Amino acid sequence: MTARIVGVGETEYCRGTAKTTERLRLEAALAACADAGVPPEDVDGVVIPNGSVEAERFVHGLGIRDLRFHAQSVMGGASTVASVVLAAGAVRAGLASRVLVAAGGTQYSRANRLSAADGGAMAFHWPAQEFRTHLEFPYGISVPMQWYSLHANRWLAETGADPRGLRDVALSTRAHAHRNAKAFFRDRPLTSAQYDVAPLLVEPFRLYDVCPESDGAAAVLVDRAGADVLSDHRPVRIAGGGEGHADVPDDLVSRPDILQMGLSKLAPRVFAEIGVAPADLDFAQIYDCFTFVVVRQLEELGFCARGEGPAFIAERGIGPGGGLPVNTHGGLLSQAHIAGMNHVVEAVRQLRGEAGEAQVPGAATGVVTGYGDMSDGSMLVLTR
Amino acid sequence: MNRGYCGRVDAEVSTVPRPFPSAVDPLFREFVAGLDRGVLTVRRCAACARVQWPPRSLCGTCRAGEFEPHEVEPAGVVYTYTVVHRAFHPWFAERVPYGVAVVDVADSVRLTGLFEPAGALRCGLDVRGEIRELGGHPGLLWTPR
Repeated sequence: MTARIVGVGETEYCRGTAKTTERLRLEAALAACADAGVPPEDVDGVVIPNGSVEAERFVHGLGIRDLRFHAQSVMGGASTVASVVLAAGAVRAGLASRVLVAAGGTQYSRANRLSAADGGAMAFHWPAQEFRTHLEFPYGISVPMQWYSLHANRWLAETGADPRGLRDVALSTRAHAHRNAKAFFRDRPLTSAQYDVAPLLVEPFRLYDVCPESDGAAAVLVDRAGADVLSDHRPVRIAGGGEGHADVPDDLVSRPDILQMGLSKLAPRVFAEIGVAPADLDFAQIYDCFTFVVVRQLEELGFCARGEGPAFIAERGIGPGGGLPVNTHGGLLSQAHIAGMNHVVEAVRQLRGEAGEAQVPGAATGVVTGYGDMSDGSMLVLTR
Repeated sequence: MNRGYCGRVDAEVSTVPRPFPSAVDPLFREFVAGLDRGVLTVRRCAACARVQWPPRSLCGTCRAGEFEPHEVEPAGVVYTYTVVHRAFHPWFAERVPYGVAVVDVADSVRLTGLFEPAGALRCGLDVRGEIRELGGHPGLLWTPR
């Protein structure tokens, strides 16, 4: 791809806001434009993860004079990274010249939280809604941590994987968060003992295996390589990317191999297209709604075989100073749930050399993944 | 993992009914009618006889769109499972920790149901199912065979 990220922006990350999702995304969008040195009215494309803010709102909010392109990606947590891929495709195809992608919102402060104990999650829209309402809600399966636990328990039984890998992800992600000023859990230590005594929510996930809900938004501005650079920031090149869908993508239970995920098809395809291998990556920002999906995505990315993720993590090291730093901003687990756009922003900062205390020395190539709905996957490979 | 407990799905404490679809989707009409009669009714393509579950608009093998009901025996092997300790609905909150089994029955059909005792759940377990009243609606309950 000959597209690049020229601007990044973030709002405050918090739990409790009076602002709306639209307002937060517009603020992040304006910050991304300012970072790129691009007048917001010169944006001519928007891609909207999960469609939750209409494209027309960006026309007013940014003062866009001539909106030439808009699109939506609807894959839950995989939508953010997939939207950046769409933006890259749009500028490459000449459908637009500067495409904005903003994600996040009032996940914590909205009226109906995913974590509600009153059955509120059953009012959310999920893929194949009739499967959910007829086959799963009646048996008390209605939220992602429960769906993914079905995958996790099969993975543990089939591969004999070491469940302590989940704890390693929780602790290493928290260690990264201590180096990031925006991390909600910065300065709040997490020890093995705290992890082990935390409540079991759904087997095998304990409290610290599950990301919190957050308020906040983040955005990136994508343009075409070769255009004038209007800021002092080094553009980050989008070397490759795409989306992937497992067999039976709308239903985990009837998927012949529940361990298969979108990334299983996507990662080998992208790496082959651009001639990059997992060993070439200086860091990985992995969508981490749960510790478990970090372990599994490292396996499906090809760092190791299925079931060997925990051993890979223990040997290579994914914390600060490790052989493969993962989620150097603290991720969804310990920074904030900004739908994974905070992962994209952090990857850009690493490649610009602007990651502060969290900087991976010499970072030149990195991967960002998205993971959502019933294991849909998305992926970006970014280079300096 | 320590499983020093035993979930009870029929605890008589709830005034809130168990979740159940308020309107039956046309694809699930025969399945829900089957639960009312105490049988598990999936479906079979009328053209190629391939069993299909869950139900979809077209046959995944021959792409035909006509189906007929097909009963399966409520018995099989646990493919995967979960045990829920933090519930997201009041009926289930009174029953934590509760077990849920995803069971391979015949014809490549997998069926999800409650399972007890939750502490006995593991992949590969032989189970039998029973359709019974659970929280005001018919439901599938798996137990070790």
